[in-house]
Amino acid sequence: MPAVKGRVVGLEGSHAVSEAVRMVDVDVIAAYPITPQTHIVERLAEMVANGELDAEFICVESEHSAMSACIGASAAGARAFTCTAAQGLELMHEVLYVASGMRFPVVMVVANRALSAPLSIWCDHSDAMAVRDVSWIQMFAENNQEAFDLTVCAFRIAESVFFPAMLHMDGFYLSHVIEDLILPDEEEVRNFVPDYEHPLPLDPEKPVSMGCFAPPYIYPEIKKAQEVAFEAAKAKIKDVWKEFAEIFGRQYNAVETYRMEDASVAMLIMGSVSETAMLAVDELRSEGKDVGLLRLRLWRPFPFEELRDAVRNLDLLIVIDRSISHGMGGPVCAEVKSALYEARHRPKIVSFIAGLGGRDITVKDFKDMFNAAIERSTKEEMRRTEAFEMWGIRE
Amino acid sequence: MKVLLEMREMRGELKPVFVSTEEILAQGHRACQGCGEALAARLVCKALGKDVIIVNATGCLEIISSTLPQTSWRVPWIHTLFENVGAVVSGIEAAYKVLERKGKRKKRKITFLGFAGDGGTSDIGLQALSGALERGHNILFCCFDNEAYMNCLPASSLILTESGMKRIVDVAVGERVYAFDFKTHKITLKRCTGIFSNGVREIYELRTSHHKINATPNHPFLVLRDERVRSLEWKVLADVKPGDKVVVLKDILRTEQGLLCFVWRSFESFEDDVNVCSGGCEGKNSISEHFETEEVVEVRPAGIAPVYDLHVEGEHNFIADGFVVHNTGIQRSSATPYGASTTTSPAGKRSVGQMTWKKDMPEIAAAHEIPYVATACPSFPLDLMAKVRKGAAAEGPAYIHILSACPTGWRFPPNLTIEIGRLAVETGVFPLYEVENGEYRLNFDRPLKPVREYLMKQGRFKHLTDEVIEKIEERVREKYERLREKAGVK
Repeated sequence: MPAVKGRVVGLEGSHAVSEAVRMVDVDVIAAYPITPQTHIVERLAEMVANGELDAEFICVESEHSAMSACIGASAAGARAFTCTAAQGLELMHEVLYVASGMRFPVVMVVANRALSAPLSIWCDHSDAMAVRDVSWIQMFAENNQEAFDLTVCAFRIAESVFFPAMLHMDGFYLSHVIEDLILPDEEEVRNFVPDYEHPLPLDPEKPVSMGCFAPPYIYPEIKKAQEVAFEAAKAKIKDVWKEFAEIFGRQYNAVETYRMEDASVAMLIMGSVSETAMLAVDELRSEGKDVGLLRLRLWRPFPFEELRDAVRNLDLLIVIDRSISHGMGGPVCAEVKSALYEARHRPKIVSFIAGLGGRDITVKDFKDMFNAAIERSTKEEMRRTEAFEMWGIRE
Repeated sequence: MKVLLEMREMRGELKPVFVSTEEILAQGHRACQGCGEALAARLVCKALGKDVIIVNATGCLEIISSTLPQTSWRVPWIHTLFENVGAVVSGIEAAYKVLERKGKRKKRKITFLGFAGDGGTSDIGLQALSGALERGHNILFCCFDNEAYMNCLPASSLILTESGMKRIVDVAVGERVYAFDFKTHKITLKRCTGIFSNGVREIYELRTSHHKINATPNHPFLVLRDERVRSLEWKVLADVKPGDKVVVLKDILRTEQGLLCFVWRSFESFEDDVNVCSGGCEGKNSISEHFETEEVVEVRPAGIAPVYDLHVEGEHNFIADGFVVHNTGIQRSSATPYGASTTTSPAGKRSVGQMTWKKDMPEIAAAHEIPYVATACPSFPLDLMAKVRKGAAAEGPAYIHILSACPTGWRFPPNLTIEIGRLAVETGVFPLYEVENGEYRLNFDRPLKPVREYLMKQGRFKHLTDEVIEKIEERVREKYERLREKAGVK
């Protein structure tokens, strides 16, 4: 890996994303304001107004229209970007399926936020979990550097595999926090993300019909083709990350590990809170406990093999969910369990729901969750109330 | 190529009016006979030629023109969802603007067209449309208003007759229908000797790899009996099993009529007909140059429905559709007129049908203060095409509201589409006017005919009493007078 190149700047997470979008020279931005995403598009609007970015900025009247306008722009051969959060993501839900079904490489950043009701503008992953099945490539960022890097990668990945890509970054924790990050050279970013070219855009010189009506004799074949292509995207994602590392010096992986060597207990987590969890791991390690941390970076397509490899030597896996599927439990935990079902070696699994609606999860919380899970897992068979708990609730 | 359509008096001189013979919306699509919407879309496209990009909402027009693997569009066309045409067309217009500015695409005058029905415009699509009009995109939005959420195909079976596809209930005694000739195995024309209503019966759905049809269990289908010698026999539906091969019309008629058809048998004696296919057949499943067999995938109960039968001279068989597309019914929208009976606003003892007045969509569009708003109707084709060209030439958003008479939903014979549209205008129910930069102009202003003439030709209004008709008349005249005032006509 080459030495890290670029200049160190202090940037808010939102503005790091805006900067990435500017550097890839996006053509069309369509967005509707919603906290905590708004800083991203405000900054982009400013760039367009100041002539720093030559793009069409469409102030649409809803998120449904934001995604629809992005689809139109992408179909006409333009590079399109939007961002949203929570209710906005839910409002555009049906349009997300169209973007992927019609294979438009739209890029979207989601500043994750809890869903109503009750109204909450603060971070959790309820919005992300509601769009698991929309056939978008989905990644999670843990800090502002990653928000920048993965936004750049999202364009490159999406346009290589013709699937839309969604980057999740925690609302407020990242979107509104200023951190140091390395901004690479603009030209290198432009070289890394070459101009977008749709093979058959909407163009009167070469008429095409897009989005035709599919009776039962053809619909399942189209869905199979989509599934094959979507699975195949996994290899391309890894290639792009590898190339990114070669140029910019930062390597990303589908499943990230922290102090996992010789660990028998690990916690699995997504998003910004993983950096807090690292502190807990460090403290527990210094107390002599062999614990480690796993972070799911790639959420769709799901990294089955990588996850299996990562838990191969574990006795206990603790999964932290920042959302809840009522009557079922933690959605990430459910997926992790299903991914490990066929594995020869399966660790015991304890599921915690924590950090809903912006409730902070502290280092102490993480340590307590580690210790509680380790204690419960000594039993031959855990009861449901032991294997699943909503953490830190005042009752 | 252009042909002379008519000579028209303009500023005291007779001038020729030409129209292109080129069809942008290709023939062979699946619209019902007499579809006002397909006609209107054809005229809109004809008016603009090939430098267009069309965004089409979910609805009749999309369904009839884009069933995979075929398309009827000779220009770039995209369909995504029901309610977002305004937004998608905005995105395309913005993309072209920026790509041309950046030199990624060469400059060219393209009309960005939005197509939607009344639901996709004035109900679920209103928000996205309003956004597009307010933002000032250079687009032309055409609403094809058939005043409800319609069938995309008639509910009853379609019969292949000498004069095209007809619903079984519309075939007349004495009319010639196509049949299967047992001597030649080719298609032949025979006279219909009777139409019988068999009441409401239990029906079954027969499905082949590509098509399906509903029929009663005792209805005979022509089935291949012996693969090697290709002998045929009649089997009642109750005896037809998955794997059986039923006789269907070949592709040749699929392309001409937009439908693939099964051979049906009328109920007269059929036990004695066992036939062997004569030579000269091509292809594994071929029976003759007109017919082939297709494997049955499934036969399953499909509820109860009113059933009909035809009697046909000589051959005792006829050809019914194998392509019953799922219906959306005829459900009211906010554009459905007062008094119309639909499946969600049915007329009954306590209801007149639709209880509210039609939402005035052109006025809503005009309230956005866009450069051009117009109403049009395919019964006035030259007026319609002129308005489309004006709308496309306007700098900024343009909106054209096109009344598209629907024989299936409005319940009138398909040969009356033009007349119904004409009456809508002549009675003042649907006045033709333009709003150009805020200036109103009435395009057709003559003493109004009584609305009764328009209403009574349509099944959806058949139940209306004199009292209700009078109420409608009053409202129509009052609105018309207001429009005249706006247009400055005294």
